[in-house]
Amino acid sequence: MSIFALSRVKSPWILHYDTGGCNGCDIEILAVLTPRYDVERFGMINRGNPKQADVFLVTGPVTKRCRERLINLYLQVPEPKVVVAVGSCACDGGVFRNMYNVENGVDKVIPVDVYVPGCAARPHQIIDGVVKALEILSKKTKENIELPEYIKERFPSLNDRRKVLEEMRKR
Amino acid sequence: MASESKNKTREIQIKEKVYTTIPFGSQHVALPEPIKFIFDTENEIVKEIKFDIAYVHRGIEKALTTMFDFRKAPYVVGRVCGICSAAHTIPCAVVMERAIGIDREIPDRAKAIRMIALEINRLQSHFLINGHLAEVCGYENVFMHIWRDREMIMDLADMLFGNRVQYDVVCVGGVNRDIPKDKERVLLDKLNEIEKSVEFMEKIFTKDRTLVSRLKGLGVVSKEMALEYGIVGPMARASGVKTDCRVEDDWGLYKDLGFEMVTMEEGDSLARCLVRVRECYESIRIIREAIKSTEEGEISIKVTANPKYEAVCRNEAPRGELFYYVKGTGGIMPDRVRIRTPTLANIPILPEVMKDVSYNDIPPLLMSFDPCIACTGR
Repeated sequence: MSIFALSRVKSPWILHYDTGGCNGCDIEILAVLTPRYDVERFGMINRGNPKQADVFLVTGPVTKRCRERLINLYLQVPEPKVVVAVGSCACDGGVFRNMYNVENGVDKVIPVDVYVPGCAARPHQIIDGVVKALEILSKKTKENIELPEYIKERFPSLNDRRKVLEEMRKR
Repeated sequence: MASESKNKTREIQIKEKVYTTIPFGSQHVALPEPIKFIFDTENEIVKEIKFDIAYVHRGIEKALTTMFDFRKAPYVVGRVCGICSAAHTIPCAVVMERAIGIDREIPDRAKAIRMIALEINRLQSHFLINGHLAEVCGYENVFMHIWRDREMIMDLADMLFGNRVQYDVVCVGGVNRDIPKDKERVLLDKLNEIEKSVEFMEKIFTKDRTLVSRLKGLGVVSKEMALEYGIVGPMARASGVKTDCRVEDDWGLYKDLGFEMVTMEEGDSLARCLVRVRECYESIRIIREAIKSTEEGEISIKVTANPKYEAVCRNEAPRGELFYYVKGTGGIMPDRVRIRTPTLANIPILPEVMKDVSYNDIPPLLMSFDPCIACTGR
């Protein structure tokens, strides 16, 4: 394991984005940072900057206006990265499923590695989910990137897809 | 040469006015929810504010009339906002009862448990926002202290209602579960500890010199302004307007238990913060009285009819007046449900107060307003 890969798992930085949930999970993510749960013992810091992040925490059922922002943020996070969907509505839409302004879950828009269910997800579950995500992160490299569905739709030919992959590896 | 040009630019900056546009959001580390601000500034003084609050619109009002029957409605509206979930479920259940015509038959024990849920909800919301306010002022250790004490309230909610955020204890016709005797005793013990941490919070927000001088005189809302814009909740009470829906609507037992309104006259950020702190004492007192005044017994009545009248209910959420309207026509789903949230009433005054304020005063000012975007967007 290279020294970069080792340090990435020892000190993963978090990016958090609410895509239109009820705030419950967002407040629980904030509670995870406070003394009782103290997620900093895993070396995690919540940074607002997508370009410094390794773990992407997404809450909410993805409203139609948040969709473009979510894709934008996902593409800005450098490879390798893991996406954690926190809360029932981020997993599959939850109580908001099939409402007219909702996309029914994060995995309809970007690929998701770990699902954390619960309405709202408890802090223990969120810590558990992020630690599971770190296992996945340690196995990921810049070589085995999986392209999201919407990029496959946009670039049907294999040649174009190869170019996109090369660009993503450069970041 | 380089130093010369540097000096030149510095002179220009001092002589001329520099206009900068600062975008803030929709994703930012300081924001747990998506809201977008655009500040037009002139030498660090904010001149114009534009904001966009509609990122979180999900269409809950429409779904209540097409997807869920009226018995499920309280659980759905709890998901409007995770911070004030109980404050949403209660007026929704009450308004459905009024539309059916059974609101006079609700047992007293059910009303008391509803009040306990609402006040625990209010306590954790006030702890949350005061901690956040301390954090944006630069007091990260106070933030950690207050949020550590907030976990006691979350534990209480977990013990009484089985969940930390979404209580889901209120249903149409009463409540879903009672509070047994042994849990009442634990609740009363814990309330003493919470009262101590409220005292700690009050001490910090009144005695600490840095915090007081940072917040005093910031964003003053006068009583005339408050009445003209029709603002609600702790914000209005901090400006001396006597308004509180806990005494204005009669779904609970507040009038019987002797409710005292907390008001202040200053109308600045510190007053808003202190009104929230002092409301915590009142909430703790109400929980104690509600437990003492009722005994374990009947907690719900059977609902057999569908909503067939028009009804309204007003409830005091942690952020102010929450208004529910329902029009039923005898079907299993109502014809129209309307939710008016407190932040919507408080937002029009925001650009007015933020004008001509230094840019570094914006975060504490915004936090003292206590905006909830998930409520407003729905």
